[in-house]
Amino acid sequence: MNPTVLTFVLYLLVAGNTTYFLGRSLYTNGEHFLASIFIQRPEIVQPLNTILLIGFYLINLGFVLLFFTQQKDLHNSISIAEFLAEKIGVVYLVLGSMHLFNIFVFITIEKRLYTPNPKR
Amino acid sequence: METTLSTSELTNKLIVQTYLIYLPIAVIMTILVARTLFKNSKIFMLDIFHGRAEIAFATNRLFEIGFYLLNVGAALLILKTYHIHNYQEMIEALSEKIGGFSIYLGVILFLNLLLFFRGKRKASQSLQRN
Repeated sequence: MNPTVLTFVLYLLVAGNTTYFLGRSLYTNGEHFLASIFIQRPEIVQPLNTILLIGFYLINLGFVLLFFTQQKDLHNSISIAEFLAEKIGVVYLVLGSMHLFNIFVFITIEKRLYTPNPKR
Repeated sequence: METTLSTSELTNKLIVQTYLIYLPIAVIMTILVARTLFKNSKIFMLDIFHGRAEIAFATNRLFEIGFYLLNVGAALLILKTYHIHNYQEMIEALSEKIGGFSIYLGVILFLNLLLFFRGKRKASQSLQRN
């Protein structure tokens, strides 16, 4: 196989799977936050969660695909491994920062609504 | 010609060995640190969220995944090495990388601890205000 194609397939497999599992974990764990935020309208939680998940996938997969550009010649396995490590490292850092940003948004909204002695 | 080819082959072999040693060590260190940190952070999370276990554990899990992503990403970014010609240089490169990564992990660990303490303090302040 052409080395560039091979690299792209490997990159897509790793980054795509990471995005998928990250999205799943946000979906399952974020549901508690949404349920707590929309405590008076529980029927809105499930659809909103799904829409947020789709948006998350779109943004992150878009970034993952846009980020795969290469000008180096990938002639042997060492250069492929180094190139992949660099790309996937940056992708992980960006995905991780976005993930942490999401958590902080969740916490901020939830904290603002929920005080220890709720008045509702 | 013969000798230059064999030295470049030796270099390639040593670089591959360096990567194969470095990556598992970095990943295992990340996993160990994350396990310990997030097993012990549950009590902080419970304090921060005033004992609401569901949200506390969900946040804990989300932070754990973010921690893994950031640290594995950093480990992959500092993977690349240049010019390894013999075993001495390989060991030096390995110790430089692993040492740097473990210092980085330690700093991140203490930043996390600071974050937990800050959250705990804010939570107790908001409890007093009400």
